Amino acid sequence: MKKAYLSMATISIILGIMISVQYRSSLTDTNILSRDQWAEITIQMEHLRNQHDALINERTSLRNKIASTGAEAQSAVLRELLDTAEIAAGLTPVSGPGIILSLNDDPRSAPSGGAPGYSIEYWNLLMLINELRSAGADAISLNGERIVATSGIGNSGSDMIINNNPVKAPYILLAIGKPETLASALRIKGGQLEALKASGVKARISQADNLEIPPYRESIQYKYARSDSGE
Amino acid sequence: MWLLVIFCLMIGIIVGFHVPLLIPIFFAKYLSVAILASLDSFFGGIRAYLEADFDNVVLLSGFVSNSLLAAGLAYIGDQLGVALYIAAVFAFGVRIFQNLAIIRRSIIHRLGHRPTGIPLEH
Repeated sequence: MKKAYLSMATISIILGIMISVQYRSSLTDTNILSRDQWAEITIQMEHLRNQHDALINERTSLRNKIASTGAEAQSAVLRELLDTAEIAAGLTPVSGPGIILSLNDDPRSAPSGGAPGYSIEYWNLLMLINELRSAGADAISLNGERIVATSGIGNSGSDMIINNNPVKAPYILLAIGKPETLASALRIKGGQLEALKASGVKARISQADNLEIPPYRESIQYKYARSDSGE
Repeated sequence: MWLLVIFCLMIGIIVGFHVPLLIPIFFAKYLSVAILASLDSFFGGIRAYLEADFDNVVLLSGFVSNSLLAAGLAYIGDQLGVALYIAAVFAFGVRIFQNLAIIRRSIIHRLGHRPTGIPLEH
């Protein structure tokens, strides 16, 4: 029995040491991070460092801009702002790499609520445009109509109405952006394109190096909205 | 036996508090699984003693090998990206509870309690 006591005693002592060492370690490091959390936090820190550097660079460049106070410099800055605003508003023709999506619609018995005989509804086009935007498209046009912030897409009989102009199938979507990103965003499982193909629409995506997208041609009239910019 | 075990446990805890040894964050998980395995050996030893089934070699070898195996399994699991330490937690947890149950029965029996299912002798 002596031996039994000895080994139980040894085990108890070692167990006690392990328990208290573990407890002390967890006290000093109140956040015991697993390896995954550690990696995640390191990545975040790297990301924040990069953001910090980018912000510092932006600050110096902005300071330089302010420092160049000559009238020429100011109008150059204004010109730059105007260009950016026009591009964002879709008022200028743009060109660049991107993708071309062509959709051929077969007149078949359509699901409820749509133009008789066609599978593509206006909301399908809206979803596609949304997917392209989420993937970072800089400019989008549908059958020659530039899609801007106030563009509306709707049905009227067998026509699609875009920017108050009627268009017919086939629908050609041009989008300027990183071609691979845009193409894979459209091809995502469960995306709009998959659903359209399943209901018989023939779709083709082609990448292009130099697409030209026309400007928004309608006149811009804000009848109700007033500018609120009081700087 | 009991006093010895509890006494030694306390000695171990006190010694552990004063040892200038801290476990880096990474290893904390492995140590806790090893503690679980050691607890299992500990209770296994107590049960073996109460059942007069005590084997020194089994106890000590089990203690060392189970702790190392549990920590090793957790480490491999981390390398593979699969939470293998859960296997150790389950296995040792179940065994601890089984051993505790048997220990409890043994103690109750020794204290002279009669199970109600046995008819009184006449």
